[in-house]
Amino acid sequence: MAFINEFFANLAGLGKYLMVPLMIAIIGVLFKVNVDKAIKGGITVGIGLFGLDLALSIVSDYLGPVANGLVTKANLNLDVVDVGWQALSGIAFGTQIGAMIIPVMILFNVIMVTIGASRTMNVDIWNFWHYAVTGSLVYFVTNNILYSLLAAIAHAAIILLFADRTAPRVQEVTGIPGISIPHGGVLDQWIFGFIMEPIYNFIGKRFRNDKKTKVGGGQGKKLQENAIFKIIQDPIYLGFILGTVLGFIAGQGAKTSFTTGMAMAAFLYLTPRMVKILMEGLLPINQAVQKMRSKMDGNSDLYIGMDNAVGLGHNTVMLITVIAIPILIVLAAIVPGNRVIPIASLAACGYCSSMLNVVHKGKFGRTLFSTTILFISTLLIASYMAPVITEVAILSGFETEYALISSLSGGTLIAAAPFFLAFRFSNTAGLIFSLIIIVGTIVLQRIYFKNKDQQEETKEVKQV
Amino acid sequence: MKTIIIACGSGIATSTMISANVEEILNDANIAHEIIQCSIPEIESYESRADLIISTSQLQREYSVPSVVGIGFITGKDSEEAKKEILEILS
Repeated sequence: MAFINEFFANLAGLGKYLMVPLMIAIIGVLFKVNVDKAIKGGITVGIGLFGLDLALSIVSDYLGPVANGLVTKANLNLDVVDVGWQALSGIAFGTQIGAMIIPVMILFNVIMVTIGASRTMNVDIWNFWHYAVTGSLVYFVTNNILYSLLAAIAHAAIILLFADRTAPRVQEVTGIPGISIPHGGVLDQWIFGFIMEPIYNFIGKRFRNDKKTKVGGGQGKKLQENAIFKIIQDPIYLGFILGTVLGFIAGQGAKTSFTTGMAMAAFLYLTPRMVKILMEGLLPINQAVQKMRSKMDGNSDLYIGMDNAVGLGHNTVMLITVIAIPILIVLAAIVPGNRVIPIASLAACGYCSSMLNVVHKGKFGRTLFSTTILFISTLLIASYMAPVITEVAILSGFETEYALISSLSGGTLIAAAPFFLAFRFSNTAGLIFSLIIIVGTIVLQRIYFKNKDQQEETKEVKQV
Repeated sequence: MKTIIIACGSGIATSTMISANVEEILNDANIAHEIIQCSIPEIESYESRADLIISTSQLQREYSVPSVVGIGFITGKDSEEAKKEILEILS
């Protein structure tokens, strides 16, 4: 046990620029990728990490001072820079947990499917970063690899449960057959959506008003073409305008404010491109896993696990992607206790509502309301977790003197928070919590699928 | 030389996966190409340069350039159809 911890501590001592590429290359070879492709993939991931650090340095050099100014000169308690899921994912892959999350999660998924506890093939390796965040947060308070992986697995377990149960609904709303969404960051959308859905139904029955729920196909397109919305959706314009405005509010002179505007535009433009390089490094492993998956797919009962993004095309979500931007900004300003300045996540509001939309079956009013309420809890949790997640980032090499960072998008922090809190309370509490979730999921799922199969069988018998 | 836009929700993850498949198809068909990866809102800024748009979800508006939904490359279903469509449009 101590040996394992020491081994990984030594590995981490190499620094993420060596550790992560090394792990990625080894994993590649294990998945039968050509050695040269595996090595190149590993180095490419390392390059992505370098690039991400370059992009994040803009935060500490330029955006941090703005946050300081907002606190000291404008008396706004906004001292946390929202770097978005884009940066969070890159940071997560640069941690020790991140380096090994891919094989751990694939193994876990294969086991779950084999023992009949899941029908989802979660081979979207990119999205394993969510579990790496959970694992890293737990590692931060326990310094124990085993507990961290256990928390990550528990997180993955409950996501698989929701993915399997919501698959039919997902397929109906997105129109894509055979898929489910085992995305680590939508746990809050599932839980909140399913709590609100019966409430909305109840209200809907009492106040029958068909006019309000009719949002037809035209609105999405018209709104997208509105000039103002076009501007705020473009990261270059959004970044420059937001950065400059914030600079002025923070009491920076004209020159500094416009420079801040440039810095923010640069940050919003560069970060996704740097993280994309990281993703390219994962492609060889991704292709190998796809091959593995198509071999296993002889049994076509299995769902193909997809990214949250497949829900973005729906008209309601497209509308909300745009409308949510001003809503989030206003909420950030008025919600008491919020410390986060929404920046990178403004471009990602669609992701924050895509699964809510699935739960609410495409209804605009419900999805918008749910998204807004969820924003409030996201702001508060992101504010609360900011110091920890900043520490995790610093430990993996991100340098910041001035800025606290966090993320309003990705949904990860909300899902990871319970595990983090349990383990922080005590190792035992976290252990019990994680084990209950894992075992509970397996048991519930097996019962669920047995019942489902029995229902299918009785249907067939009746037809005969 | 054909210019192809590959767009997804963020321009980072899903579009990267699809562009690997598309590269392979185009190289096999000997079509000289340039690939632009971006997010769906950014398609407009590259529209004038492109011959084809491949996106991960149904596009909500019409562009001056033909578009193909490429989600099949990730799910594995209908990828042959998408491939045919792409080759048809570009030849």
